[in-house]
Amino acid sequence: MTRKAPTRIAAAVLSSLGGGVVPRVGLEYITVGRQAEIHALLRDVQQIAEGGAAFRFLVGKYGAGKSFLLQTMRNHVMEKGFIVLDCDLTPQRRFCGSRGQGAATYQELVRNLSTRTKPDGSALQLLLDRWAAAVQKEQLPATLQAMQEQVHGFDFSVALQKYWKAFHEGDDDTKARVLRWLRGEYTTKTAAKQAIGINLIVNDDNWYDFLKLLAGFAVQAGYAGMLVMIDELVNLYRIPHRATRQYNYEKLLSMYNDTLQGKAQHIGFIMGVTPQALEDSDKGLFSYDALRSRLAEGRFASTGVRDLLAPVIRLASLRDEELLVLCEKLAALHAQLYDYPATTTPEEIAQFLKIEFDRMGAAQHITPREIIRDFIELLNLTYQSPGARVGDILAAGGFTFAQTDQNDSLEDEFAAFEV
Amino acid sequence: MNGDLRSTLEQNLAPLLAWHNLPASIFEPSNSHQSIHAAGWLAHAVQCAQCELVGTVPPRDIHQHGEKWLTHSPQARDFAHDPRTRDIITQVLQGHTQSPLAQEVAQQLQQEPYLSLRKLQQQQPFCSCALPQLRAYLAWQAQLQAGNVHRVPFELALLHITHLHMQQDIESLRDFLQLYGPHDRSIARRLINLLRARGVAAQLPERVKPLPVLPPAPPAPEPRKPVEINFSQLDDIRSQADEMTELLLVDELPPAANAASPLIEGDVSIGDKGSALHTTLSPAQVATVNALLAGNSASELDIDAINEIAWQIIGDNLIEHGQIIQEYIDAWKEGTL
Repeated sequence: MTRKAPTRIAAAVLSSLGGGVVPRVGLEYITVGRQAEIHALLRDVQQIAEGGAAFRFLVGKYGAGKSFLLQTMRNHVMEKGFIVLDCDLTPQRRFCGSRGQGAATYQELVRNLSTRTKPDGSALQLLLDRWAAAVQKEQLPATLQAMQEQVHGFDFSVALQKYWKAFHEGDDDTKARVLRWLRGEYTTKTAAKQAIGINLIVNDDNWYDFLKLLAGFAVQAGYAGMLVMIDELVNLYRIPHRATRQYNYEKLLSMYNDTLQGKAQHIGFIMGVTPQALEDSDKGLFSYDALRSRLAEGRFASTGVRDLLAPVIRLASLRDEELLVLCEKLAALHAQLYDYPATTTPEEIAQFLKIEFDRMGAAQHITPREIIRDFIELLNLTYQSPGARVGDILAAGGFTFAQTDQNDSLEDEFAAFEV
Repeated sequence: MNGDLRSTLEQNLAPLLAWHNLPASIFEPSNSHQSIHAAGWLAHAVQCAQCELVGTVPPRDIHQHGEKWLTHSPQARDFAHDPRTRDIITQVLQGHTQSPLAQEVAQQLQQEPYLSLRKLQQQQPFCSCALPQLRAYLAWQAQLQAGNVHRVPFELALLHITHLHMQQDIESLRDFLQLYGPHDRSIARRLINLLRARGVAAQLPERVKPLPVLPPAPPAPEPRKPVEINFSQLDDIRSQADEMTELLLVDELPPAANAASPLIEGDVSIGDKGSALHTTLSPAQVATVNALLAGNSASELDIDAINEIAWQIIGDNLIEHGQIIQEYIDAWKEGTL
């Protein structure tokens, strides 16, 4: 039986999708297809909860559903008691760089640290408070002991100890300083030393070690594990300088190796990347031979047979029937939200899809994002025209197609070009 | 667009234009909005198709830039979306060698080699996506003619062989590969793989063939089949989607057997034990709920417990109880608690 979404969820889903962005809530109600991918990721989640680690690349074109799947997994694992760190890479946020771009990525990840009860980020303090409130004084040494064995674990445990003490003494100033250190906001060792007496800061070289420490700490604070989601890896592909790009790939490789060699626990990574940024052997991840040999498809993979246990999960296009069911679900949500009987028939949706895919260039460039936007617009038009049906509006040509989002970036990219 | 190309296009498109109720000569000045829109779209589509023929432009331009002409004109839209239109444009351009875009750009560059992109755009309404590639390509062609084939970026080499392939100039293609191969064997191998994927392997020179070959390039994606819905599969897909929804929704309360049954737990006097909405609260949560119901305020730490409880008990069927806690959360966030 189809589960009915609460009205507030329906409103959030439709307004986000209508605006071309992935909703933060309610994705479960419109998930169609992707069973294999979701099951593969859920297996990883299970593995992480049991103390393992995972590293996955979600590969798909712009608008193919990478962010959708990431967001779906994010919501799901938070409900399962995980903490989630997520961020998009940008020119200012990479894995490493000469201007602290790696540390900036860490800062953004920690800023977006979310739990079920704080799904919008900034949950680090909650994590610390929860841990400090639960741990008794006599339990403290044993709790910290486990962390001290890891890289930078000693300094990390000293910071936690200070926080625990400050928490119980009501010393908000010290709590704030430790929090700042854990967020990686001290830019010099001197400043950190003066603030909390620790001669170490988060930087481009060690931020991954801090993520591992945070994962271990989250488990001690009562969470099931930690999932790190990094989207827009295409920003590494766009780095113009070859050497910088290679350093970033090297860092990615070291994280990948570390995670999958069993050196990390209770932590998982999911990276969103476009096919070109992965496969371009000149500038993409595959330009780094060590990554290519790890991530390239095996000899036996072929069309129709996918290895979803491999580190790279390629998002296949939704089938026509799946798109139709997705549109059906959206129509049902729309009818529920605006309180009218859902009358859109599968035949009308099929007609809509035919029109969408008959557009020039659709074969290469149309994505679920544009189809969804168009369909919601169609539903809005139907709702606002009493007595009209979807088929009537389609026949009258009364709606315009959604524009793809590649136009602006192309213009920007080429505007500065000089021979 | 030069006059010859224009008249050839008009001649070939005339039946289609009539079919779509558009004037036969849409390039002539006209007050008809439909005519202006169709002409605007067509000019753009021709430019883009020219670019495609020299292997330079992503076809999305037709879709992106051209669509804006079609916003207010149903006839022009029908005309543009008619698959026959595209076929005719391509056929005309393939047979019309007088005005490829590359030659026009080359002419511009010869006159003023350091034109800025914006200036060039102002002078000639080319598709902006094509210009950088074309200009780089043309600049590099000059280097190629001078024998400086080393350090050629892969993209440009690819552009070049695409161009030669489009022109069916296999001899030049062979020359280029022989010239280029020794300078950068890996790129030459990739080019050959690409050409093989395009089915021209048999025409490649013998001397280049023996180069060690990497795993074969992936086959070009097949053109998308027209939408065909198999309605008999829909029920399966719907039930699978419902299963995914159930799988992904965790920790939600089961539907209430009796929506009026209030929540109960332990010492919290807000319901009856045994209802379908029975949930287990920790002692700390029970204490927090008690405190809240007694009208006490929440400390900063309590908010976590409150949130946890709220997630457990706020549901469509329990909104009256959830509301109490939600109000506390809102008040706390607003600093008015």
